Amino acid sequence: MTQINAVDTGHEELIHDAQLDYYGIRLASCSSDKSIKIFDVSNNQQRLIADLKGHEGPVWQLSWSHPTFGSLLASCSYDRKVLIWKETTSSGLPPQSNTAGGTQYSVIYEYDKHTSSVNTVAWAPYEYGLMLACGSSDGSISILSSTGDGRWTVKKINDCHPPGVNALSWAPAVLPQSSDESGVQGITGEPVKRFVSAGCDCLIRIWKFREQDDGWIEETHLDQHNDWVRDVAWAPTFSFHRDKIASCSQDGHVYVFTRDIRSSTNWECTQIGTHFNDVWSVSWSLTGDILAVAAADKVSLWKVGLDGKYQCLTTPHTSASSAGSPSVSSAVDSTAGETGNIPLMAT
Amino acid sequence: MMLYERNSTIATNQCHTFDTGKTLLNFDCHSLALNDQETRLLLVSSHSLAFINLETISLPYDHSSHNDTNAFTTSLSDITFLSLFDECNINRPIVDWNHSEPNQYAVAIDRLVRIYAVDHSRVNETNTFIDSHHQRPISTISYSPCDPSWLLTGSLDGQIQVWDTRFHSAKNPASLKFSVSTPFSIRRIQWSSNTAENCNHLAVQCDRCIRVYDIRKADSYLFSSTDLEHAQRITCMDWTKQRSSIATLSLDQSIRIFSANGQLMSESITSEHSFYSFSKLCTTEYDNLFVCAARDTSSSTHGFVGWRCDEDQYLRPLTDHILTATSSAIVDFCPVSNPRFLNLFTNSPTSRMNDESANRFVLLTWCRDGHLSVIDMDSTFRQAWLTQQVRNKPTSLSDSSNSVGMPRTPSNSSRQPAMSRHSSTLMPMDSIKDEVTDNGEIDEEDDDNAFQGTSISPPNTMESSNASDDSDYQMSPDVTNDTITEVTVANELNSLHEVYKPYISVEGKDEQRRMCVLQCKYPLDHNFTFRIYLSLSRHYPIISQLFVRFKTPTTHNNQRFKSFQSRIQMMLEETSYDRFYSGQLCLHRCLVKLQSLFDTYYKQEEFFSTIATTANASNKKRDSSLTNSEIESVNGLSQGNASNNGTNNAASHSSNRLCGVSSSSTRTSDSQISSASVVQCIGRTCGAHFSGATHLICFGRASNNQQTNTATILNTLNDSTLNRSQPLPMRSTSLTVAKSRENSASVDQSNYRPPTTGTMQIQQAPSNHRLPMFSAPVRSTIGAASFHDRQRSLSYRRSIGHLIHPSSKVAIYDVSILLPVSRKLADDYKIDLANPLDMSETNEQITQEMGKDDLAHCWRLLGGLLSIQPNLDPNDSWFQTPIAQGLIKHLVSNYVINGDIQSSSMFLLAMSQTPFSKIKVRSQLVNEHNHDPILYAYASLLHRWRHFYKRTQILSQIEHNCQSPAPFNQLTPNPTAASVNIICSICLQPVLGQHFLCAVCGHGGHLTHMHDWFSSDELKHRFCPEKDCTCRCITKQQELLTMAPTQAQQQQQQTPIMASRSYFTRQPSGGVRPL
Repeated sequence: MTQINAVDTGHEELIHDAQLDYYGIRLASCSSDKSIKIFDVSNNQQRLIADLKGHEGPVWQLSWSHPTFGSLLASCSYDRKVLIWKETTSSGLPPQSNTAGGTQYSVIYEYDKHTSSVNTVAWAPYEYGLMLACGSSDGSISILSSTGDGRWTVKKINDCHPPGVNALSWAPAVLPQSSDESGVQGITGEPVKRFVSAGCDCLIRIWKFREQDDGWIEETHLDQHNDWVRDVAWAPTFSFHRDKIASCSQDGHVYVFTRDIRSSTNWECTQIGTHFNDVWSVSWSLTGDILAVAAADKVSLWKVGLDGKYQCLTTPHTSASSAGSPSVSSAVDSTAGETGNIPLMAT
Repeated sequence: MMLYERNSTIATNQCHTFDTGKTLLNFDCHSLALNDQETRLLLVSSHSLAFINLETISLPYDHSSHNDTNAFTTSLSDITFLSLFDECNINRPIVDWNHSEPNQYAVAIDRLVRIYAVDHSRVNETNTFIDSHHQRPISTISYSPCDPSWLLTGSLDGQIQVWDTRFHSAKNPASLKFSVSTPFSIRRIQWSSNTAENCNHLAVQCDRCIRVYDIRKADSYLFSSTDLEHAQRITCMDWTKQRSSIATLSLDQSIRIFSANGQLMSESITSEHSFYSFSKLCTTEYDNLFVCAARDTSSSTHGFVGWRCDEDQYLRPLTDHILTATSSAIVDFCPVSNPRFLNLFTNSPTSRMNDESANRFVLLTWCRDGHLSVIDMDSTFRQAWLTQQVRNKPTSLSDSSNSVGMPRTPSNSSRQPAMSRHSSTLMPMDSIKDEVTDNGEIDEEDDDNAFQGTSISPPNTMESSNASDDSDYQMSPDVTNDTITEVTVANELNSLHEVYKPYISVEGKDEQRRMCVLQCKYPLDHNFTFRIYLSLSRHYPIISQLFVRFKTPTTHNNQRFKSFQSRIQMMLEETSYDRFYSGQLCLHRCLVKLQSLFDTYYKQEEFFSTIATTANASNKKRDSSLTNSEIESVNGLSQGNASNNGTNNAASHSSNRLCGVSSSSTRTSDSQISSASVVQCIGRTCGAHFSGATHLICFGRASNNQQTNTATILNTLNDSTLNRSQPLPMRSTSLTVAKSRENSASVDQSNYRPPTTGTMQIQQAPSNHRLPMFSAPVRSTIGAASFHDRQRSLSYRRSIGHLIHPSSKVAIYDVSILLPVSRKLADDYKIDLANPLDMSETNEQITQEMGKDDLAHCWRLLGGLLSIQPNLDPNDSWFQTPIAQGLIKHLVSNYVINGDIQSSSMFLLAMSQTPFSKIKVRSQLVNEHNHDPILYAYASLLHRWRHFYKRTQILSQIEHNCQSPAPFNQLTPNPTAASVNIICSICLQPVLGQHFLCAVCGHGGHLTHMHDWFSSDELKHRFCPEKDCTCRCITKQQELLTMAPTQAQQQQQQTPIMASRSYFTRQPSGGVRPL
């Protein structure tokens, strides 16, 4: 693993979020200085292509949509607004061919129906269409979906987490499958839209869309944490049967919840590591096997080992020491090889 | 944590075990580190440290008050686990406490030393890093007893390096003063414990001999015991307490005593006790008495053996059996002299014997079974020793006779008297006994005077302000309590006022139970009251502690109150600690502070509620900023006190200050939005996201200490843990020798050979600023060399970047090396569904070249299987036989489990045209779609990597390949598309070519999709493909089915699958099509 780029964003205040777009060529960062900056980071460059000013408070989180929709950027802020930005080009050329500049982003939609700071924003899997969920300190979650003609419909779920919603994450769009091992044509029905939210009521709640009454209902909640849950992340999965959610809380604990739909509907809980100071975010890799946990002084990566327990892949270091820290390189014994290179085992 | 008495089977065995619950059950401790003041203990294991603040743990009890004590166990978490700064290193951490500063310790791992500071019960990392210049891992570190900033590191490479830790920073690392080289592996450095004449002497344990150096003239040693060396390596050494002699214990089980000038003073007689093996040696207060941890190899019991040194130059064991026997091995022990521990044995009922209770030998012991115990040496030991002593008295050395009467005095004079309440260790045992009973106050007072006389500057400014505060306080005549210097429970309680202004009143006092009850009004809600129980420890004031307990009605349990509660608790702990520290009455002081805390809290809340109009607006942000500013104002308060000399004025004064603060910030916050600037520093301070395909983005800063504003950087990374259950060894750049985990003190073994091929290692740039660098195993065929160079230049650039704008950095890491999927393979893999055999052969070659042998094997296997295929009938069920089926399924599932969707989907694709992935339905094989999610996931990954063509190849194998939601051209309408605007009911894409629409319901779509839909036999395929449409579309269906499939194929129009055009969805209720 190598650091390929270190972007000096030039934000004047603390950065609250940074996201790469779908293809990994645009980096958007947001900060307490109320601005959002977008960088072109393809080919290891770091060119500022846009500095978006539209929020009137600290910008908490960003989310890029799938490129099918033209790479929209959603942002949420302390000013109780959610903005959806779209790249427009002055010359009318498609964005890709226009690298010489003139990249502009304009707000195509502003959502201001929350009564308090909007803390989190997340696009749904693109299979569901252009759909955005945002959670606010007023305790509610809004689901915005584009009608296609520039209008958006809003479903607001009130009192999800009465003291405030901190984070939410969509479940991947996988179909429920008939659990028949014999392999009868298995796909049945529609994918059930689900997302998970975390809030200041120390709970993680899982929401599910019910077609028949066209509304979101709480499927279950998880009450493992003892303090505000700060972040939650639903892992991408490739099997029909397993769901995996990671969460981190102010109490310093990081848990991974798993559920095997076939066997039970209960979520099993595993703790990651022991205690993290000031842990702020959890994130799953695209392959769903590596979890990144960001705490105040370190970022650590975790992966399930052969014994079924999560192991830390990194040596955590405090950032303070980075200048004087050692270069420690790892020894790999020859059997392990590259990580992709898993020897066949008899299971 | 409680102490309980272990009723051992051996009656004479005096042992108290710390009840640590299960917290230390699997703690792999290998040594104990107790600071000189015996107030803080670190248990050192290979992977973490456990910190125990011995001052705050609950007290010894006697049975009468058992329940009482139990009920008031503090809410402090007694054991704090601390992670190491380099967790994956297999070298054992070495810990040493600073001898002069009781709150500082250093940890060494491999060749790095880091210094930590203890603040009450919190351990903070300091910025001080020593990157030693040793060639091999550090085996010992030692603080100088004379100068707290000197730290010695000794390593297996034979070097001793002397570091000055004073002027360090990230840029300016600790400076190496000088280094001393020996031809031996250094295991331990110990300073002479005798401060009087040879405080500059240090003994160095080198292999089989010891060397003594004078630190002032370190270029040559004073003596070296090379000519008198042990037959085997020395495992332990210790200076005797009074005379400067050194006791050494060797692996050959012999013990020798060397005098300071290098003469062998005495030697153990080993032959007769060969069935004992000794692991650790400690000297005692008596120069001719030694204690060894021993193991009886015949009965495999563990315990201690005393050795005495007679005048005839021979060491003899004091008893002929092991004392204080336990069944589990003694890992480490250290003698303690703190009266707290001694009291355990003088107070507990079973040991209330009237013998010579002065001569206690109390050992703090960690056993292999995971128990931390305080063990008093057996009475037989004391007995044997005493009789011995009496016999030897006339002939023994003068100071040892002195030590009979005053055993503790000389030993402790060598240590810096602790600036704590426990400085009563200076007193002989008898006086401690007295203290326990009645007139402890006087002793306390003496102590305080002694403390003030020493006037050692307090550790931080907060305390310094308090100290001056206290002294002012004492002088002010109008304060009633401080004229009474006797610290007793009665005085404490009498010092209290009835009411502490608006919020607090004293409801009750109970001298018997040493407690008082406060009734408090919650400042924010006057209808809500709660009680605080304050109780003093049982042996107050000998052992001082204040227990705080809240009793609140359950109705009011919101977050804000909880945080308030914890702040009260924290404040009370700090205040009481400060008061105990200086030996003054604490309760009144606590309440005065509490009063102002309530006041401050109220004002703060009021202030914040005025500026924050929205009720729930970001609780989190407000609360924590509140905490900050409030702590500030509490600080302000104490300073206000210091200048003001009066408790009565203090509150009003502080509130004035507060108003000043709030008014100034109100000015900035005239609109609601700008009040955001008050809370701005909260929110997420750091984060790490996997983003894009294989990138990890890190940003943020360490929020816990202000001096570090650098981005959260993933510093060292270890890339191959997935096949291991142990944390990986981190090999250092120049070294392949590391200690084994099991036995660090004894065996070095060559460990973890570097891989023969392809570990790319980046050496650091030749400067003191070592950079964080990663190494990754890369097969040589990929051109590691060029990568290497680029990497180096990158990391160099990065180091410069670090110094410029640390907090606004966002670091992007390429984590592809950690992921099971490979971009390069995605580039190279050939997908040729028509020629699966050819495909697998090509792919075998590709993987072979990349050095992915396992994948190459799999491809070869698949190729072998596929080569059977041409000879068979296309619908032959060979691939559905258990052998083939099982083999492939196993292969696929194995890779899926590891997240390698790439390999598994490629295998599936290779098999896609074979009967393996088909299922027999009515004597016809149709495609099975069990694995569609895997293929789909890989297709999405390819999409991110912009392999659009390969993606469509895969999607064509998926049942419903029309995943994309219906795009609407909204902002830049495309005239052609807009005019047609037919959305395929199946793929939800606009139809650009031929289409098929039902005349009845108007639904339809791509011709081929419709054809596929209606050609199925299932019931639902009789209906309209549009979701929720019940139209039977029957006539059109007939019409369509008359069309030949080939015809439809020809008419198929390529659907636009992904282009970053600006599509918008249709109605969200418009059905989402399954995979």
